[in-house]
Amino acid sequence: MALRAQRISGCADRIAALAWSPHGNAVVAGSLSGETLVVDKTTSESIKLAEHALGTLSVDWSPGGVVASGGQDGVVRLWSPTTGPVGRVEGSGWCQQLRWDPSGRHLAAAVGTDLIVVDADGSGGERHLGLGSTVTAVAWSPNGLRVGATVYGGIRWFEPGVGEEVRSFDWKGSMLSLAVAPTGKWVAAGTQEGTVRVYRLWSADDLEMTGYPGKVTVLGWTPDGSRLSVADTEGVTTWNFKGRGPAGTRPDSLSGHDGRVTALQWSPDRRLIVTGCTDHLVRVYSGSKRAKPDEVFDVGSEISTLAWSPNGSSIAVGAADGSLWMISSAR
Amino acid sequence: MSTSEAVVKVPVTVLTGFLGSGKTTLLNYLLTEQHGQRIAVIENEFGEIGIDDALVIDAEEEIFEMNNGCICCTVRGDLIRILGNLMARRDRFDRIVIETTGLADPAPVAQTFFVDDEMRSQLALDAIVTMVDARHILQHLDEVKPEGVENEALEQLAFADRVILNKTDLVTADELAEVERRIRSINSMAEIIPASFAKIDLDRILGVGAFDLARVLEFDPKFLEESEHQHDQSVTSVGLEIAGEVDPVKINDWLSWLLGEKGVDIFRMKGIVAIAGEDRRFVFQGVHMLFDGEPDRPWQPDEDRTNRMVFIGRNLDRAELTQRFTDCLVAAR
Repeated sequence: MALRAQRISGCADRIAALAWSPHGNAVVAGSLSGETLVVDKTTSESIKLAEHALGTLSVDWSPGGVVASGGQDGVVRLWSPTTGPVGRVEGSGWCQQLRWDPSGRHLAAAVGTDLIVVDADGSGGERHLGLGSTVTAVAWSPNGLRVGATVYGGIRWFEPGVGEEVRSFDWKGSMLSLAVAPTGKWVAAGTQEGTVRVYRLWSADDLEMTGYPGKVTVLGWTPDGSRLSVADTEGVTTWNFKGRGPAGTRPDSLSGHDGRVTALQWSPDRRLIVTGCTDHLVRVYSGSKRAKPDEVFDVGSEISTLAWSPNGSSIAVGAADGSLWMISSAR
Repeated sequence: MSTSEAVVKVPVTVLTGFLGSGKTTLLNYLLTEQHGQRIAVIENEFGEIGIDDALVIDAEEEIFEMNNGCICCTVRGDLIRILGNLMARRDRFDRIVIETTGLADPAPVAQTFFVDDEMRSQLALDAIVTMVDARHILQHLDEVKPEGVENEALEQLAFADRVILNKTDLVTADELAEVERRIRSINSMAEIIPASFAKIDLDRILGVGAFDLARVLEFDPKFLEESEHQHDQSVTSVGLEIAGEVDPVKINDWLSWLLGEKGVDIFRMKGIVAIAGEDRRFVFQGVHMLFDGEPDRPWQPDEDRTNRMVFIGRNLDRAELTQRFTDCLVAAR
């Protein structure tokens, strides 16, 4: 596949987060400048949404078409391309991450020490669940029944219909990142200690991958949930969860990075993995065990975030200098 | 292919001290003085500073215990997050000042810079600066705490690289001398800077490089030998100056003993060691059980190969430290 990289838009400061529209025709990018931009993929035309004072930290786009953004102002904003602003929730502390559930009915936002669950069904309901320590990441089970939040002390699980904490995976230490396998079988959390803890989502049986050179903040599953890729200061390792799981096995690794890997994602068809690195390069590999990438793109600044379009034809890339890049087929 | 640019570490100054010691006055002075540096401030005591256009971020102390086998290892999770975020916009400032609350234990703050890989690679802890009120510090030091509760004033002094002795205009010369003597007995490594109205030459607290291994020993070891010998719970400094070269294997065992057995009691340590067969000085420093050491510049031809180190902490037994270290020496050739 011949790909081409093109700068399509820019913000005044680092792009902290981006997300694709459900149909893959636009991306929303949030910047530490406070800007939140919705950019059309083909025309590069952009719409500027309301700013988050001090910086936008997280964005997500629901299957139903609602854009959510959260920032250092502790505010979560909802916006629709057809009707404009549709909601605003105020919390206390930074909004580190927010995620729509797969149905788009609920939004989970990590704001300070609260997990905020917003009902987007028009009822305007919101619940602020105090977790006692800063919430670092949130993730939904694929069936949308459960949302997990990482804190110092483990993963806390809630069910929007119930509200109360339904389950806790306790662990003495600080958890920083969270990814649920698309099959719903496993959930992986990266820790401050340089380990990845993986649990069976419904039974809490756990295992641990250790030995990472630093804290683990970036991890991602293949779309079929069979492999887990973990970024570190030197590259990417990938663990195989087929059959009996990764216990006792050695992970695959991707070589060729010259810095910290700051972003990774598997393509929707799970043939390709894209990585972003502090060495300014976006690399596309055709598998989890490669000595060198198949494609390399220099975006001239540290990569902060990236995402495949829903159909896998394009990769949106956000950089530390605020530029937004699109990598697409060269046709 | 492009390569990553060389990382210039951003210096971080930690400012500790009790409420009322003059920290806020100093911070305001730091932010308004025409020193040509852009300073990002992380403050812990809310709403004290209101400077327009300055990068001031509020923090809420959040202490994490680490599962790294180091029993006393705690770090500040809030600082990791805030500093990580600040480093994403590092072109906006030249240095960072972290103000801690008056009641903060400096250990988790210092340890954070040793433990977090991202911070280690991008930030350099420049110095811990402790501000004390000359009129009230003795009272704070003498305050009897319940069992198991630390005396924060004592800890803040023990960790300091620089002690700003503020409000000197409010005490007599005799009182000031007594305060200085007490501070010296706790921490003989720190430089004491007398001040009134928090007015000081900023060069004395910024760009200190106290945690810089290359500048690790900027104290007078002779002075350290005068510190009192104590076996009790009080915090003292012990300086050692021992001539000769050490065996590389034995010194490694010594280090394991030191960190494992004494790490809980040692707040800060710094030193230069002459290792047999190594033509460069080995410099080290540590905070509790966390240790950083590396070969430094070569020993000069006319320089005596002398080991020099200082320990600040509780239950420090000079005789034991000296004996254990002397046991590592190789026989003179």
